[in-house]
Amino acid sequence: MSNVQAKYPFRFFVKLSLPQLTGLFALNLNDFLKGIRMSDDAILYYHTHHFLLQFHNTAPAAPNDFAYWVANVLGENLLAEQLAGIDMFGFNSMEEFKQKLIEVIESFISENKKTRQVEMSSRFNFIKSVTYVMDTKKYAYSLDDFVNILQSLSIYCLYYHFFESSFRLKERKNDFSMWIASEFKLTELADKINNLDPYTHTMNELKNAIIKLVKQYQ
Amino acid sequence: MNSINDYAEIVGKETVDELQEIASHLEGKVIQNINSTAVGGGVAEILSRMIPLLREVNVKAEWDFIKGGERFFEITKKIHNSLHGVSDVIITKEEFEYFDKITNDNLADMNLNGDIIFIHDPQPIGLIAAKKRAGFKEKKFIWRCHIDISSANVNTFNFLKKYIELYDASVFSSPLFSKKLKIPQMLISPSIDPLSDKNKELDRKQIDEVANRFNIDLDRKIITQVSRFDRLKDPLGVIDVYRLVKKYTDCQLILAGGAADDDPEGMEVYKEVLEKADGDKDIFILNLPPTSNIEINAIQRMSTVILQKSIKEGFGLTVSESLWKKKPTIASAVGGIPLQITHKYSGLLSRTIEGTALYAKQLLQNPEYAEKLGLNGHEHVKNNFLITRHLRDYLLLFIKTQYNNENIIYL
Repeated sequence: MSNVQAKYPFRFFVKLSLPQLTGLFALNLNDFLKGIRMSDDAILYYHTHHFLLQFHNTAPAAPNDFAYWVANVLGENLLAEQLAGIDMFGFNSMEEFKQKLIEVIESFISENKKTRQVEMSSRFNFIKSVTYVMDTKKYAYSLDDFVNILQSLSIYCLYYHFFESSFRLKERKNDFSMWIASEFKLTELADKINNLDPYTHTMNELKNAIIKLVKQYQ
Repeated sequence: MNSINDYAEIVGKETVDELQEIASHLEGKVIQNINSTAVGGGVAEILSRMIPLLREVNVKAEWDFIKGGERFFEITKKIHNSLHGVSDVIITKEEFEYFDKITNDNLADMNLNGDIIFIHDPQPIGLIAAKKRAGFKEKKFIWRCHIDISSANVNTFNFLKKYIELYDASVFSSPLFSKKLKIPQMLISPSIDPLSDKNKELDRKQIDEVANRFNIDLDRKIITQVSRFDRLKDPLGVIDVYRLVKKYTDCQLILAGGAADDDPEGMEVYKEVLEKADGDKDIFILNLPPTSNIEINAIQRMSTVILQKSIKEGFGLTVSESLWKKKPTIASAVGGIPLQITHKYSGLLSRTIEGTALYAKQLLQNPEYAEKLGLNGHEHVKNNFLITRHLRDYLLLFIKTQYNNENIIYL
């Protein structure tokens, strides 16, 4: 398979981000819910993805900031577990994901009237990601090229092609699988890559897992 | 000076290549950094490493200083303490006027030739007045706040706010440090340089040499705090911690630091520390010149446990230095320290003298636990607080100034 050439090459991008404060913050669960209601995609994206980058060599502490704050600051472990358990990949848009967050928090509030008010120093700050999509100008025409280039790029390449893709493509797909299936008809490999859960792997583990899978088909 | 490629061994070649690719989007732009001192303190230290690295990735980076004088720096120290929320600081109308006078002197003397003018901390903040000059419309001004202003004195903050809101953007080290402002507030953590004299690997001989020079016994346990002699770093509280620990575990204490050019209080605090130590031969109070980077590195590496018992902190980079050296670290849960230490995972966070002493005893008596915390801390610093991440964030920040307030930027 290694010598088979694709008609259309895979074009590699990286997605970088810089956090920006929004001025919005929460001291209790009601403010938190209000803040989530007011959050746009850039805010939701920051709070669901920066943990992955911060802990990319060690075990992820929590799948998102929302669950982390509810557990470690508010001390509401039941709600935290519910928030952590929401499958990001089950949604085609950040808006859908946001509605699920709102539904879970509303349901919790309706059953648990008393929740904590925290100090300013423990507040939840709503932060947004300023996103940079950078063309690496690297193209893969074969699986050999693909593996070599992926190895040479940082984890921010996965950020674009694996995480952001499912929202861009409006379905649970990633750019790697799409290209492998359409150019090489390797649907089994494409599916295997697609089935990797990015929210339970560290970024480096995920990159290595993709490379290992592709090598089996070279 | 290290080449950018030297960092590939630590962070990977792919990260270094990516930095160069990002930097290519700033071609032709001059980035002019301005602060108040070339030596001493965290800001000068970061700039002394960052400027050469920016140049290594072909960014035209410059570094200039404002001129002040003793009275000006006494006032700016008061402003600094007042921004940190120290309650007994009073800044008079005359002192604010003198601050503005020195700002005007600097405005007259300095050549503000950068396309992006990056002002660090309050001392040079008034240079933003230059933005009104003819021909300056295209220049972008960014204010980098390295300190925690969350509990700032209202009068002092309002005095500075009239300047801050004229900038195109501001940068803070933690979400907790910021205030409500009309301009964009970006979040960028500071960093340490793993290849600097202060953080690079040392061999046993170098560590032994430093220990011998100061008569430190490497066969006995050592508790250390590295910080300049500043009340906000609570060196007197560290001596209290040591005395509580020493009742149960034999140990030595090292308080190592120095004074920055813009900190006239340093010598006064140093004398108070000497007095409190009261001639204890196991307390080593080392007032080191700002060039003592190898000595600081060796002292951190010879330590059993490292403390950062600050009352207030900007970011507290000495914590990252300690974690980078895989040292079990106990630090106050203030400023940017909780971003560096996840309690009981990559170090211990404390709030009191008694709590710090309890944790110090635990670590001294349980080396396996101490080692695990140190290793986790090292990984966390590697991922988040090295200068290569900082360089990337600055490059992205400078690029952002060219794109108004867009949420997505295509490069």
